[in-house]
Amino acid sequence: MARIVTIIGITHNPFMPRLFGRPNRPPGCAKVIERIDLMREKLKQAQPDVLIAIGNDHLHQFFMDNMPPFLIGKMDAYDGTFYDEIREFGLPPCRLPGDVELSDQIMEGLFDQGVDLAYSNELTIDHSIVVPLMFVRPETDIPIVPILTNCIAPPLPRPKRFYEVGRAIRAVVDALPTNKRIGVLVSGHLSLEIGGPRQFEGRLMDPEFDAKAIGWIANGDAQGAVNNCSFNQLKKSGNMTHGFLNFLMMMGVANASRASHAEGVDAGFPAVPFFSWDAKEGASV
Amino acid sequence: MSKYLMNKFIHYVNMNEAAEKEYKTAPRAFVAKWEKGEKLKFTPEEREALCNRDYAKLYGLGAHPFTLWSWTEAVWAHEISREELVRDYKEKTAKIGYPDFKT
Repeated sequence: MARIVTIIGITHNPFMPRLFGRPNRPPGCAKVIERIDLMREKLKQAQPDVLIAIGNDHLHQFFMDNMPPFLIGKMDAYDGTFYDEIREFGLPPCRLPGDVELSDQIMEGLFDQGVDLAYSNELTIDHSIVVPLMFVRPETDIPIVPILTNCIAPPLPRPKRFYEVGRAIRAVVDALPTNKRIGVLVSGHLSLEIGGPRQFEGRLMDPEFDAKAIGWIANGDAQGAVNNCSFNQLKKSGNMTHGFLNFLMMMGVANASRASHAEGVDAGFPAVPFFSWDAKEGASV
Repeated sequence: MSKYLMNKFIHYVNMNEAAEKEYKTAPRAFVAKWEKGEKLKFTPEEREALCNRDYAKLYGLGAHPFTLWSWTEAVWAHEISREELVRDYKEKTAKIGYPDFKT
């Protein structure tokens, strides 16, 4: 039987890799880098054979001519990042190995669970998966199964659905006839604004929301999260706060258990989330 | 459907280096050429805003904020400092508020 050996939830802030390389980086970065190191170590200790990488496309491969609510990649390898992300964020183009067999198994299993994913045999991955991998597995040597969500182009799937899809992924993985050690890497954010009047402010966007959100995850309070994350509720905390929805899927994968680590770091810019579920030796998380 | 087309244009210019360069060099000519290849049409207001690289107007017309900012930086950064652009963008969009960007 497959085992989930770790679940890690982390920021995909695409400005960070370049920011961290600068000699005059803001003082708050030190704590963020320390937490990234901690998460990288957790992933290393868990020794996953494969990573289910959950993120959201930012109108790169996804567009409104053909917008899937949820999509799984089914490829042996994926190209990472796009021209505009190289220009704007200085992200490096990369090649990420895939596990097409596991992609297929998860997709078939999800159909049986009543979750109808879209799929892609030609998927390029944006910063929502590239940046987390740069942080926690810069070697990019572990094959991935990417699952991308739409939390950017409304109407969005409902918060309840993000959570349910996470639960379904967990049910499928738990029943897989494989000895693979499976890690789950999820990216998203807390309150955030991009492209609106409150973007690029040197402060937390909505500290009250951030504290509540950390609480839902720390306590495994799926109901609290589901009840407070509609499109209109989230947009009050910043026009791109909907990236938090990926973490509802993460809570589903964790079967709404309490997180081992749940924190939003205040580094002098919008909060930087760090979550993990650490497995005991020989057990699933 | 023209709101969708406006977003499609912004998305296309933002993600394609050659289109970005051509648009920056001659915005009006590029908008006309690109629109000719599309089945849908811009409204006169959208077309004018795109010809003028008018990010505040496009924001008000419901351009997707995430892509709009990226595009704004791409098509103005050669003429104005990022700091100044961020300041102006925030100031102008603050007057508009939060338009619906659903397509």
